[in-house]
Amino acid sequence: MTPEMEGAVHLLRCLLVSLCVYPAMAYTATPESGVPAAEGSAVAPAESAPSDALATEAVEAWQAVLKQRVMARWDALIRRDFEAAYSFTSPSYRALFPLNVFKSKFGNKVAWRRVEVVTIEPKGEDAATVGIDLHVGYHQPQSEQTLEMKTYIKEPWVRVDGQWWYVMKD
Amino acid sequence: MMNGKVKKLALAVGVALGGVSMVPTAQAVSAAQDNIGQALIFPYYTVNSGWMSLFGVTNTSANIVAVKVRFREAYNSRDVLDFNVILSPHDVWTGWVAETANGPTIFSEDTTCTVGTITSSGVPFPSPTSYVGSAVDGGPTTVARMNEGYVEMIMMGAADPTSSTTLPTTALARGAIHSTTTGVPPGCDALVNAFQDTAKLSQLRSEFSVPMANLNPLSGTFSLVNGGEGYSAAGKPVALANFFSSDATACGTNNTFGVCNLITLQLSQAAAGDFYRSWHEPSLSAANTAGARLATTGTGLGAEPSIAGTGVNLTGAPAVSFALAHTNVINEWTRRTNPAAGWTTASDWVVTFPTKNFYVDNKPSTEFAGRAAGRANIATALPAVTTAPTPFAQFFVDTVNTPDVTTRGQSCDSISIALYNREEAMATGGGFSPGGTPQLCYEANVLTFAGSNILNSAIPASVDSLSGTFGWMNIGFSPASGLPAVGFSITSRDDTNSALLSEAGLVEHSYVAPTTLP
Repeated sequence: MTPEMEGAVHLLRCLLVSLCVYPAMAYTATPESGVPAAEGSAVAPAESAPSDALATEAVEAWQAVLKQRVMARWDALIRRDFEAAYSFTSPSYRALFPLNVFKSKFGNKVAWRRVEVVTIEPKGEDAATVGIDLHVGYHQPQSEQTLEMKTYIKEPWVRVDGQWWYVMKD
Repeated sequence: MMNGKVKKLALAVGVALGGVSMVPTAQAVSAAQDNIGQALIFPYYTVNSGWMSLFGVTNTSANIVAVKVRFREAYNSRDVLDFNVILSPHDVWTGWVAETANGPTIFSEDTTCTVGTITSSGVPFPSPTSYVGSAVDGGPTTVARMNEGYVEMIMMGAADPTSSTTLPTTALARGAIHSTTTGVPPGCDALVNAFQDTAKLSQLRSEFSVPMANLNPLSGTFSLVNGGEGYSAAGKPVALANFFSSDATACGTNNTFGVCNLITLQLSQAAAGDFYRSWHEPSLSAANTAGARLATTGTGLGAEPSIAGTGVNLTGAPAVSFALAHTNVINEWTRRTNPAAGWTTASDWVVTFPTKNFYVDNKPSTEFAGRAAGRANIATALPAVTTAPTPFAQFFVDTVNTPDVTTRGQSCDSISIALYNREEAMATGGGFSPGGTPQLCYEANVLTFAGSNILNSAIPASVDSLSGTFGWMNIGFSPASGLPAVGFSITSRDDTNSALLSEAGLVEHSYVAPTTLP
């Protein structure tokens, strides 16, 4: 395959991923507030106390499942078990991109330490943005200094056939 | 401290200026050829989508050096975070910014004295102030606007640590020197208090009064680290040498600060209206020397022209703009993928205009604007605003051309694009997005290739029609006298082959200097 053909194939794949995966998230493109909503804050108020309690239980249930999936994916990445981490990506992503492409998305310049789920922001029935604090170790070559750092990342997740999947950027 | 090449440059500029200028000093602000100077411009920071940005500044001198650090957002260079770093002799300060649930946050594990205090657990950027309420400029008013931009570090003054028994004493400044027993500066609290006390300003200015002429002590580094994807790339800032002179003549004609250094206080925001005692200054408009740059033709040096009819050289932002002016920006790009083999390459370019706000942000009533009325040296150093913010094409905030203030939220300059592969084939700027016409609309611009956007910028422009899968590109600016720009290309390579680890690299741009004077 010539380099030009490689490029064309790549762009086609990107387009397909956009069509297959991102429509589920399209309605989430609201202006960025910068300050994430509190966990569960987007849940509409219920009309009565019993239904309110039921709704709260339902929200807590799916959020617990989602949180477990987020943590399990990162547990795999921290172990550098990319095959396991790959299994958390959306079915449409896996249909287009093999494991080795997924693996190629990760460098080794930081050491992933641990993850905390900070926020879960529902985006309709079957999508959510999960805010995580990712703790990493980074060895800065200029200063010969290993820094323990953290960064807040908003991860897009979708629910397909009752299961939560990570929406992989490509 | 001054390195040899910079000294030669300064002397040569003095010779060059002698015939055309009334500035009787050898000092002229220039982009230091040896990456050491009085002011450092870090072309980009980002906390978007897992990126973290690390900064380091080294004081190579035997003096105590006070430095203003300022983070400016990418749209319109409004100040979003600033603080002072008091470097002891031969000291290094390091810190980094990353996103947290509270927005961009600065961290430091360093023991160097800073005003305000920065901790390893992080200090969030202040809530948006400089572009909301009465300061709106048409750009976003969100916290996320602070997620990317660029950083300037400007030497405010130097203190002699040995002058304990002679005037001026440096009792406060010497508090920045690290204790050999505790490893921390014992007098940092006193320095912090002093920089927030208007009654202490004259003492600080007196203590940091080592002549700044030809004193170029600052060197820097930066790194961009993507925590989620495990990439990093490092670079060096652009250093401006001889940014400020304390000699009597230079200060006599531009004595904004009363005492001839750039020491200002770090007052709370409640006292923000007082430009020259507060955190608004020094900025890149505080240069009190003329601009100079190496020329591509002639005898080697180009000197800034004088103001028409006065024989006096422009100082301030125009001097810095002159020193950084380029007609063309050149670097390499790649956008290649081989899914079967499991690798992909992608490039983003950063093109930052660090003095643009002093031309295009024309909202005098807003103290945060580049052309704020309180910024007196703008009025004296920049030509009067007419119909366009020359050399830039469009106001970001326009109070000139309409009865009402026009806040565009962008300020676009058309560019030309010559995009080559590695075998001479060329494409000329087709398929540019957004808008179709190649243009750069912000102060820190991210240019992607076929939507690469590895920096996850919120305001990318993209070159979509590529001439192959890798090559080089030449951006041309419209003004014959160029535009002041700094930046780099960052390239990532994703690879699963253990022999070729996934990695990113950062390469500073090459430039073509203008042969036409402003």
